[in-house]
Amino acid sequence: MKKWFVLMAICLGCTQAIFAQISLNGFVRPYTAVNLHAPNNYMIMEEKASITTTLSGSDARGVFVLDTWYHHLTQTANWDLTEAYVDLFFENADLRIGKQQVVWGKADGIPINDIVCPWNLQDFILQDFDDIRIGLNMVKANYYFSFVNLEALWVPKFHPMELAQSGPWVFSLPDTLNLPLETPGGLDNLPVSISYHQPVLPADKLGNSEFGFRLYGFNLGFDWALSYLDAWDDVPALSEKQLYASLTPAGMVPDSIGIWQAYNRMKMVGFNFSRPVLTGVLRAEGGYFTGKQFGLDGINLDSTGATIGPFSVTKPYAQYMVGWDQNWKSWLNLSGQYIEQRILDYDTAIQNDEINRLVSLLVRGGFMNETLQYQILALGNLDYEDALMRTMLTYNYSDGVRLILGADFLIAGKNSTTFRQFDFGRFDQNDNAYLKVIYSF
Amino acid sequence: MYKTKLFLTLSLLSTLIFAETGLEIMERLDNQPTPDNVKATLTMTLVNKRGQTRSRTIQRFQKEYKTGEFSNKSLIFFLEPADERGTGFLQWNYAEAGKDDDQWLYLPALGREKRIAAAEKSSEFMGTDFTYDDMGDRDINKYSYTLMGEENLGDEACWKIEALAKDKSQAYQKLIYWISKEKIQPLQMYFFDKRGDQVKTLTFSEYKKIDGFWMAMQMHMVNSRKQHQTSLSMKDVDLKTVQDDNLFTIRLLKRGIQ
Repeated sequence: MKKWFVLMAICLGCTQAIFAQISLNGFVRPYTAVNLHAPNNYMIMEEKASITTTLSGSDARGVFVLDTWYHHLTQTANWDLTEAYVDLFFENADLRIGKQQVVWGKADGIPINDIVCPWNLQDFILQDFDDIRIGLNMVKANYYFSFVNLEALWVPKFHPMELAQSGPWVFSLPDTLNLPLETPGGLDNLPVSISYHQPVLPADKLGNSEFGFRLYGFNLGFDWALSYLDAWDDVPALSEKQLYASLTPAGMVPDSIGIWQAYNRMKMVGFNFSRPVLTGVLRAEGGYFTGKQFGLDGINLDSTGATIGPFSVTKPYAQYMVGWDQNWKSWLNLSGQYIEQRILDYDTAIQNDEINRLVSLLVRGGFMNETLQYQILALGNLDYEDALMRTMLTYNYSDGVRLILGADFLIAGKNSTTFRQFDFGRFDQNDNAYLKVIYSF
Repeated sequence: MYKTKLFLTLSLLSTLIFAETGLEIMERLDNQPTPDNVKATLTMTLVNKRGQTRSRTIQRFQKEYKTGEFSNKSLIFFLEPADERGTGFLQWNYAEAGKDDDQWLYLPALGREKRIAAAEKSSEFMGTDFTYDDMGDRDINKYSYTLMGEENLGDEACWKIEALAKDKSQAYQKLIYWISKEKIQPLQMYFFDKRGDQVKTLTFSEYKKIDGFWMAMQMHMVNSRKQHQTSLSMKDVDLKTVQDDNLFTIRLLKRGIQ
């Protein structure tokens, strides 16, 4: 015990020696949302408090972000140290060690190069930017040359995307599959139940760690970056299907299917740039991805009734975005983006479409010297024909106190059976209106 | 009688010969020595027509370049209010005439810097009555000047100068300056829009000579169209510390000042 006190005293002494200044800031936020299809149904009743402690020194800084929240609907309280890192500043380099969020890329709201940190989809994609990225334990170093900068990062342990396990935003997968079987009457579709097996996380070992590099700079009026990431896919892919059958007088009758998923290693080579052109800003971003596993349709049965592969296939894919920001006046700013994902060397048995196209339009502005601010975000999928529209009105009541009134509309299109990060149609019954009151200190 | 007429004629001639033109006075104003390095804390108080106030506190760093590619660089960090803390704005002004500034905005919620087009300079600076353009230096070559006469503002003798925009791309088509004859510094400005309506009035007060440079410690902008006003007061002015070039980089914009 005495040793711990001595150790703590030494740590405290070192902390005081390094960090001359300590500051606390944060916010308190009650947040209530109701379902517009069933106005009596609350979707969210949450109180959240976030406290950021910053220890500052001339060449070092420590940042600790503690979030605590209480959910009235489930009557659960929780807390999370969402970020906890130490910065060390050198003449031509910075080093950040600890739990942190990394943001790469120029696209707004759509991750192309920005895939270092997985997303928290507990509330689908409707969370604030601060909350949607999951901070990861990593070491990140930046070295600043005169005309170009280099960033290198190492993530020792993989953390997958987090999906809602219950509640209105759960990504429910089909629990039955119609299996085409030959019966005396011909070919019949027999509904067979599906059991899903949780994917196993990669073992904690050095070989399973993630790493990436980014070369970036400002030259000839361009803000540009080239990036490379060798990491695990945040979303598991189908790895195995197993058919269970019972022997009956009529022969072997299938009664359930087991589906296994696994995380796969991916590599990404990306680029992005932005540059003012005429009266606006042109943005572009792209990535070439290898190692991604795409699930295949159907179940192949051999003569004994056992399933045979392949269940998924590895294909490269490309994703790219071009965007334009146009700010006319403080009350009217527009930002549009076109995003396309294309599976290369496409196989028609792949569950995902070969091309998946998204468009986004963000309109925002402020009135009364930014006392009242509005924002409308429309995000639509041109192939699945589903969309999301987010509307938000913010009233800055006083310094540090803001009221946010908003509504989200999710519009259904064609059904999709596979996981999509921007599967708006899946949640078309989750249109909601919400009120947040934020007190910042 | 003859002598009186001769004296008046000579006086008038000497005034015509030796009087400065509006452009010359503006060039004198433009050529006033300005500090190469500025670090200051600015508090902006916003007052709406109902008298309700909000305030913003920023820390501003600026560095002037006498030679080379840049005219000046500035970096601004928001200290208050709490929900704007960490927001930063970086601006590079180029020496080359007509070359647009480069500007970046860092919003902590986004976690990355965002490029801003120079055309947005006519937008309000974070809800104040100052535009991004007002916060920077105005290029005197973009206006033509006429000396309208001399007037006293308070007990200070001033030149009153009209500035007309040479092209329609300027946010203000007309400006009227009151320049202190003693300090060669502006005491008041009127801003006119494209329709010729006066939209803003800016007054400079509490001039102090710090390290040999005149600095207005108070600025007051009244937006008559919106019936809104912003008072800007400056404190902790440091003109001596030489600002490092590395301060005016995206690295520091994202990192913030310790």
